[in-house]
Order: sequence, then structure tokens, then C-alpha cells
Amino acid sequence: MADSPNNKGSLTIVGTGITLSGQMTLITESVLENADIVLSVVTQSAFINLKNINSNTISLRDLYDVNTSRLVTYQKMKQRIVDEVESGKRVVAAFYGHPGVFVDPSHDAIDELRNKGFSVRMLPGISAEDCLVADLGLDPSRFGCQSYEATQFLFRRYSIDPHMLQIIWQIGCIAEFNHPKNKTEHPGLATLMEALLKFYPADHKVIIYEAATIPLVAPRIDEIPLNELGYIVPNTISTLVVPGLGLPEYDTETMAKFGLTPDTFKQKLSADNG
Amino acid sequence: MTDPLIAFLIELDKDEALKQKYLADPQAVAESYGLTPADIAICVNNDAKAMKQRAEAEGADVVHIYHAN
Repeated sequence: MADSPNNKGSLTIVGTGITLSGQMTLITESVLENADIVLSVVTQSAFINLKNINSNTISLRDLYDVNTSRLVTYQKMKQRIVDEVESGKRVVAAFYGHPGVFVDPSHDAIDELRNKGFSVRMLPGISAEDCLVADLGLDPSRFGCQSYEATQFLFRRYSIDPHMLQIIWQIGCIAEFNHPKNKTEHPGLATLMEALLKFYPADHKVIIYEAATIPLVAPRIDEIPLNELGYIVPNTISTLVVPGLGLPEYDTETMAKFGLTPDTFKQKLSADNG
Repeated sequence: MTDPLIAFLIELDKDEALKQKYLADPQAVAESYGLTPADIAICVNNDAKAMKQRAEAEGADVVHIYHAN
């Protein structure tokens, strides 16, 4: 955290988790209680929870506009945060999920204020990816993991390693630049399916996942063959999970540099685990 | 004034003992929180659509991302 002897204002960025209230960490709750002002970008119900913690909580969601580019909206959010800190307040900016994941204004505000000498920090929150690992029982370290936003995945020449777990976010708003809701057609899914079929068999099982957001409702976990991906109806929070094809072949040349072969490596693992 | 159903869901989300109590007897626990008969029905019937709508718990408009550079 930067020292700011001449600037009394400070910024702490926090995440409220994916659900209404239960995924907020203790330290996050504490900094919220002690803030001069809380600027929030969370769901309406999570906002009510924040207001219960600190009555001076303001929502920045009214900056969203279907006719405005999301990049412009995020710029306005960042500026609002910066302005409050520069006015000398202890500001907490609260975002849905993890405040550093899929959130540009949080990083941008921290960068700008740090450069200006203000005290800034980010506290981690529970993200959709954290929920995904728990709900699906998929360990991203087992086979490795690649994670992308859907539009970026399609628009850039990424190299898929099909051995790894693939997590593709925001499949419900592929190539959407504003703030769409309640879309009924998703032509981008067919394009995504075609891209993945270059690496996986048509009957490879994939999962449409949505983390649970309220306590009595289960997460969405729909398993389908890959070649049906173009026909599903996603929400804007839907994520595509593509399990990997298993571990790749050993790199015996590299193993030899460590005096190992596949057999001795397996023996080591076995001995270490025993 | 906070929507009683939302207030109830907020409590349920962070209080495991309350959640277990609710799961054992949804009607009684929902009534004890002063919910209207219509809201009690939403809870008892586990009406996910109605609950999500009331809680506006999609969270979708927070997401984004196009890293142009």
C-alpha cells in the first residue's frame, strides 16, 4: 500500500462474493463498516446488504446504459471513485464477486490513485471461478487450466491445449459491446462451437455453468455434448466449461535433465504420496 | 423499507443455522420473518425464478471485458 502523507483520501477495493451476503469476508465487512463512503457495483439485493453495513452506500449501477459502450461506463465508474478519494474520503468500492476479476474500473482506479500518491489496496473476494471449482469438483491444477472471456477467445488467435480444462466466460454476450439483457438469439455460440470442434470430438461433454446467487437456488450445471452448444440458451452470467482430454505425453528430454524417466517419476510420486 | 423477502434471503445466505432450521420447516421459519403469504409461497415452493427476480441476483451487468490492447 502506498503512503500518502499529503493525501488523506484512501481507496480499498473489495468483492462482495457471488451470493447476496454470505460470501463476504470478515475483513471486507470491517472495511465497509469503517468507510466514509461505499461506492458499489453489485446486484440490488447485495446493495441492500451493503446499506445495512454502511448507510452511506451509493450504487454506481445507474451509470450503465444500453446505448453506451461498456468501456465508457467503466471510465465513468473509475472517475467517480477517483473523485471521491481526491475529495479526502476513505472510500470503499465494492464489486460483485472478486473485485479484480472482470472488473476494469477497480484496476484503473487503483493505478491512477497510486500514481497520485494515495493509499490504495484491493482485498480479494469469492469469484465465480471459486464457485465453479467447488460446485463442479474440477481442480484447475490437475490437468492445467486455460481461462478466457468468450469474445476475446474468438477474436484472438489463442492456442488451445485440449488436455487442459477450458473455462470460457460470458458466453451469453459474445460480441456484445453494450449492456444486453434478455437476449433471445445467440449466434456467437455456433461460432464458439465451431472453434472448439477443431480440438474436441463432437460428443465431448461440456458444461454450462452458472454459480448460485441466492441461498435456496442451486447452481446451473447443464452437461451437454459439444455439438449441441449452438442450441442452448445462455444467460449473461453463463460460463462454458470444457473438461480436458487428460494429461499429455511425458517430455522425456526434460525429465532426463532431472535424472528421471516416466517410470521413476511415477515411483517418486507414489513414494511421496505414501 | 427493505423488501422482507430480500431481507430474509440475506439472512439465510449468511446464517447456516437459520438455513438448516428453514430447510426443516420452511413454512414456520418464513412466517416467523413476517413474510406475506405470497412470499411464503415463493419460499416454500422454492420458486427460483421468482426469488431471482425479486433479488435481482443475476449480477450480469457487472461483467465485461474487451482488452483492446
